[in-house]
Amino acid sequence: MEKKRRNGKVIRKTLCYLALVLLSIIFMFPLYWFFLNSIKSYEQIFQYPPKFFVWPMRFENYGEAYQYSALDFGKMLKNSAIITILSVVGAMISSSIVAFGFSQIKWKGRDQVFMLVILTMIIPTEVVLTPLYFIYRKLNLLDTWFPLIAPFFFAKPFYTFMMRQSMMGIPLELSESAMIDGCNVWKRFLYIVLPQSKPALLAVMIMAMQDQWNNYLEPLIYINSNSKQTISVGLTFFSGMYNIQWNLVFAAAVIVALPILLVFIFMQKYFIQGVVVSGVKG
Amino acid sequence: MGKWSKKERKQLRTGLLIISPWLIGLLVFTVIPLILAIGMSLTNYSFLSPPKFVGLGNYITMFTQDPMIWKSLGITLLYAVFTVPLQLIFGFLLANLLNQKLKGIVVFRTIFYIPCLIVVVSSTLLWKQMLDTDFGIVNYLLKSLGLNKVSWLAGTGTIIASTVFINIWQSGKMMIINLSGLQSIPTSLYEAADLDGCSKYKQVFHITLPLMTPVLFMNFLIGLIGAFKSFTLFKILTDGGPNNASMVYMLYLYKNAFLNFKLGYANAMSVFLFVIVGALTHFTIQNI
Repeated sequence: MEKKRRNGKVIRKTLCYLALVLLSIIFMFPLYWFFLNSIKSYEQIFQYPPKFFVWPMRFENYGEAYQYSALDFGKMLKNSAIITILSVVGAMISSSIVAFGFSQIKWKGRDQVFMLVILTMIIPTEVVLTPLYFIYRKLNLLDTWFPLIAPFFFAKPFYTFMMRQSMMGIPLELSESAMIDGCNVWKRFLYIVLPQSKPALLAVMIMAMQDQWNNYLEPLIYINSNSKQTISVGLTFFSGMYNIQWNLVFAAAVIVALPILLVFIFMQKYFIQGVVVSGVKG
Repeated sequence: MGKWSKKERKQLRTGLLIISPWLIGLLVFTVIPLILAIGMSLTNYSFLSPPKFVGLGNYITMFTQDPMIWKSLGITLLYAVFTVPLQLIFGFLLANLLNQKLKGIVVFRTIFYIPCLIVVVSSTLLWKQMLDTDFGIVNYLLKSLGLNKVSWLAGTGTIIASTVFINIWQSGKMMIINLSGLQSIPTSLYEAADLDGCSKYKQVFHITLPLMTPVLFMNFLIGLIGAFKSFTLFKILTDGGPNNASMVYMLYLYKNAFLNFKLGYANAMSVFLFVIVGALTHFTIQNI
């Protein structure tokens, strides 16, 4: 009986590994192909049958894409970096403060108002795109970074939800005993609650970074000048050019994809932990 | 308000002050634009001429004279019908697989999460090249398996099939949400079931699924709304073509607003999208 059970366990484990490895290959292959395209020569991209390895590897593609004369790639990369950093800072500050107000401060009607946060999480920003365009036009804010960055400073519902779930787990007694010791509300937030919710804060950081770096529709609509454009939109200019060099497009696409990947690899442990801690336990 | 004590009023003031960034954001970036959208949807505003009040004209045109509205809704719906359940089932099964206590499981979790970290513009350009009829690797692999070439980006059906696959490939976020749900189920429940001789198969149906229902519903809602607002994938992959075969609702809205400058009309479309999303949410929550 015991032996049979152990055998069943081994079989189950082997099947799990088999499924995981098989799926991993399917999931990783496009990424391998992505990288491979970025180090091919122009001719090799359209070679048929396609080659699964290339030699020599053309790493020059990266430099050439970066310096492509018809498109100020470096400038757009810098624009995206500035926009993303500002947005991430805004998201972290605003969502943690608001989440504090929804978890560690007692006030009448708090949890009912929080239901509204959850509800607004569902409204897609796409719905208000055209009226916002009209407003920004009237305020002369088109072709500036304001429409891209500003919303991040006003506690986007999803980030706030994440932070609040994590802060709900901090025992109220802990922060209230600090109050008795003469801490005011802001000190309590900064020195007691915030350090305790670091994993969730890091998760918000990565998510905000990903959301803004990925943002395509909004810069496409709000930004006109190439000198202010973000790299996501810039990449499509690149691929839409006459006589495109696809190998350079892929080198550029890899450059654009890289920052998020690197941050994720460094923060991975905290990220998964942050999401799991915040959870969706409601 | 009269019943409230001085302390309660002070607490309320502090609370509202602290959450004010969210409150202001809600007003400025959601409520006011929504009201404005409803107002503008009743005009023929187009940048080119001063707006004129047309009553429900835009809505009447939408529902009776513009076949593209229904076509784009149909394509969006088709995409949603395939992508949402498949993503949900796959995400759930994968999360269960990744919740096993196996050596190196963290590596596998990372592998399945990485595709969703690739910037959508980059990954879509990649798929566009991989799906190319003549040079694409996908058709090459199909051919090596003895299957026929497929013109992936030539018609509604194959485009939807491609986008559904791409979407599943990039659904790492859903996997993580599922995984965090699974990990919050106390292991003692499974241990007790093991002691009672309950099979693993039965445990899935009697422990995992019931406890995961709220998480699955949340994923369902996120996926459904995500499908209805999808834009970037279709914009870059096919730009709605060929011959409007992949013109999803959001792309058609975008074209009306920013290429044809029919802002009044686009606002009517926005309001309609809001109603659809509201109805879907209401329907889903009712069924929880």
